[in-house]
Amino acid sequence: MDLAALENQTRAERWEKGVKIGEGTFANVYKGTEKATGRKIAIKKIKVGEMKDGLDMTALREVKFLQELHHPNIIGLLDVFSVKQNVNLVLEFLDTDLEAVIRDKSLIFQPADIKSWTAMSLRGLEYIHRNGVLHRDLKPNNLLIASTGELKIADFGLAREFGDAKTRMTSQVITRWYRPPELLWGARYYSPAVDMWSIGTIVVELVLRVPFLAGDSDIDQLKKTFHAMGSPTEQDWPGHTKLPDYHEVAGYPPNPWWNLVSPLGRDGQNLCRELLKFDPMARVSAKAALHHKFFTTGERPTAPILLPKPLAELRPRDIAPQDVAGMPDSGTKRKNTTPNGTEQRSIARKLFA
Amino acid sequence: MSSNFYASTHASYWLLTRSELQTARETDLKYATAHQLYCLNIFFASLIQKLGKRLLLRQVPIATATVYFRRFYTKNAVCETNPYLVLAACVFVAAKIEETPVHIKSVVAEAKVVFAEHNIKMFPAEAHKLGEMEFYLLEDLDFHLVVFHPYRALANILGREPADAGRYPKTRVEEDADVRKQEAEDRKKREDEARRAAGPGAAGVKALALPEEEGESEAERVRRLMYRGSGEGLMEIDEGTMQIAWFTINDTFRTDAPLLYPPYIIALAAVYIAFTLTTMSGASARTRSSTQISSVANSLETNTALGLPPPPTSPAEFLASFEVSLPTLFACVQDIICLYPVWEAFEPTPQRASVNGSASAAAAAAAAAAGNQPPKPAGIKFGPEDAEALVRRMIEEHMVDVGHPDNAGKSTPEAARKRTR
Ligand SMILES: Nc1ncnc2c1ncn2[C@@H]1O[C@H](COP(=O)(O)OP(=O)(O)OP(=O)(O)O)[C@@H](O)[C@H]1O
Ligand SMILES: [Mg+2]
Repeated sequence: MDLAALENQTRAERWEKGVKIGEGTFANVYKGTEKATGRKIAIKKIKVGEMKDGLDMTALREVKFLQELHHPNIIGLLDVFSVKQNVNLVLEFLDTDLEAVIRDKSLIFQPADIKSWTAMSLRGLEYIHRNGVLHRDLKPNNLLIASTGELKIADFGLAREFGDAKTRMTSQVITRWYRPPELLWGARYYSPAVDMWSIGTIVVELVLRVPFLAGDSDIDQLKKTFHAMGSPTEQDWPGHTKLPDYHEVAGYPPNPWWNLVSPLGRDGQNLCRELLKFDPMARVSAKAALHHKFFTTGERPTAPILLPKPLAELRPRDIAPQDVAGMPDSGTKRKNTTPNGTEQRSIARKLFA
Repeated sequence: MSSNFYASTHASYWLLTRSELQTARETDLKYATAHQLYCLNIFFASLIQKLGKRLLLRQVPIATATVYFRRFYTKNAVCETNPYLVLAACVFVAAKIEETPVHIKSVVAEAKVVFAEHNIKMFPAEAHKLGEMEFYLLEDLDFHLVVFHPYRALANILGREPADAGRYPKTRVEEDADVRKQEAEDRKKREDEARRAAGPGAAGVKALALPEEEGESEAERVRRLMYRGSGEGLMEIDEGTMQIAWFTINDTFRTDAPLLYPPYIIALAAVYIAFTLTTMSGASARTRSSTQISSVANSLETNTALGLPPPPTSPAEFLASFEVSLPTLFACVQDIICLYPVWEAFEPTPQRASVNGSASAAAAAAAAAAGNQPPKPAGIKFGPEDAEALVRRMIEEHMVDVGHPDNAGKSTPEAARKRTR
């Protein structure tokens, strides 16, 4: 074994791998512990299969961004190591996610709880955007909750840099229910505003306890969006008819949808309206949203530790069909082959290993 | 990842000291001279550039690939690896990381073409080998994949881009152009209205009746632009200088600079070199036009009027305004200009003109004029063909050493590595 491989093995030995607790599109997730401290961790083992076409973009992006982003409201990457050509990400262990919290009907949310989750999401997102990154897959299932109640943004498999405003990007991002109208109409040049829309739909969902705009196709998603909020006019959103995949979804009358979130009070309603502006240029930024009156007036946000949380531990879920919709168009889905553990290195990194 | 260089893995783990680099090269130095290794790095960088171009990659992924390659060889020795497989893997990963992925089979196919041109036969043309190499590469990069490049730093320095990317939808220059266009349109509208109000035939007189310039004053403009950043971009730099600085940055990937200095130091060094060139050579002196000089004078007055610090008036002041350590900056300049004579001897200009245009030649002149004396080759000609042969010889000789009876039973690179200590 060569030096680099040895180093890697020493790293791998810091962590004890336990039972499988989840499965995603490109990874299996295991419970684990840090041997030295007994701290609970999660090991995300990327399915590599036969390594025929090289490592998946999704997995690479996750590693790329988590290595650089460090914030209390972003999932912490503790280590990366490899075993037999499998990449393993060691993550802080998180008890549950916001989706599980929303679906647990035995839990009752106070407006101050929603305020707290919203603020934590915005803090993490503001940091992400400040670093020139778009998340592009925000949804309750990707907002994980620590045992302390702290919310952590996870899943950077679709994230990318947006430094250069002239770069064309795919519009096939963000799980449909949380996708803003500009992407549904095929926008190729977009901004952090796409993530802000997702946050808006999540805040409404926290009140409704069901997804706000649950379309069953991309066209239906636009219909559901405008049915709920009224079709956009040229005045609401200048230039939207020029988007690449624009087709008319007119005729839905304006609708005071913000009455749905009246439990949040006038300020909360106003913040939702700012987050869900049709015109991406007019949509509030994460930084501005954090300064919104909603967070400084009325009841204070609940302390994380006091937030409602399901009693049951996080269980693996099946992948919902809409989870797949957010895959980038370049992403040829990797076959779900089990990595062959006994496989030998057929070439060595070094010529004589 | 544009605004937090200091918190990045690049800043934390991949800025090395010269002695760390030296140690990393010990094994290879047993089989080649320092000068030969330097040339090999030029050779490999050119191959990466060629492969990248064939795959239609832009400069940033190519730069990232080159940095990956150099980082890999701070932990490995050329004589212990297949550098051609490594460089293809670097290009493959960099393309994905910079969001312009290419299929593994295209990389293999194009690499075959590029390597054939150089009579390189060591490259295993099988996709799965490249896939495996990708994995070892990632491991040795410690899975640190974000590389900061001097290109963006250069744009920031020259005020071509907002200081904090993403914070502003437009660059300073674009914003300025738009404001001016808007003003011109408004003025035209006002003139038209005035004309219409005055009735037909009165067009000539009306312009006089307009109120004095309602648009943004020059003072306001400066204040608006200064507000966006620190004002450092206000020293206008002509296109020629900008171009030379850009090309110089391309060249730095053939040196150790990306492993030694943060990107903004490299960018400033490139600007410094560009300035030296444009002020020195008669031809480029023309580009510093009189309008430019007067515009500097103007903004100086404006600044005084606004109570702002005056914009820098000379290259020296301009560089000094960045508050960087000058010894570090000059060490970086030195590392860059050392390249040109060596490169020139290795690959004479006509051959590499296709890669980089005239900037390198020009910079070589600068290096010469700066009186720099880089390590001279020992008089023997050493070109790309020799580089290809040297790689083979290094590997063979190393293999013999490892297989030597003295090493019986521990013929691993690990053992080989230990012996060198
Ligand atoms: N840090 C963690 N702590 C505890 N459990 C986790 C952690 N990360 C993931 N899990 C569990 O593993 C499951 C799979 O996670 P993963 O992020 O790979 O996929 P996903 O987000 O569910 O699906 P997709 O890959 O389609 O987005 C999660 O749903 C969750 O149950
Ligand atoms: Mg997910």
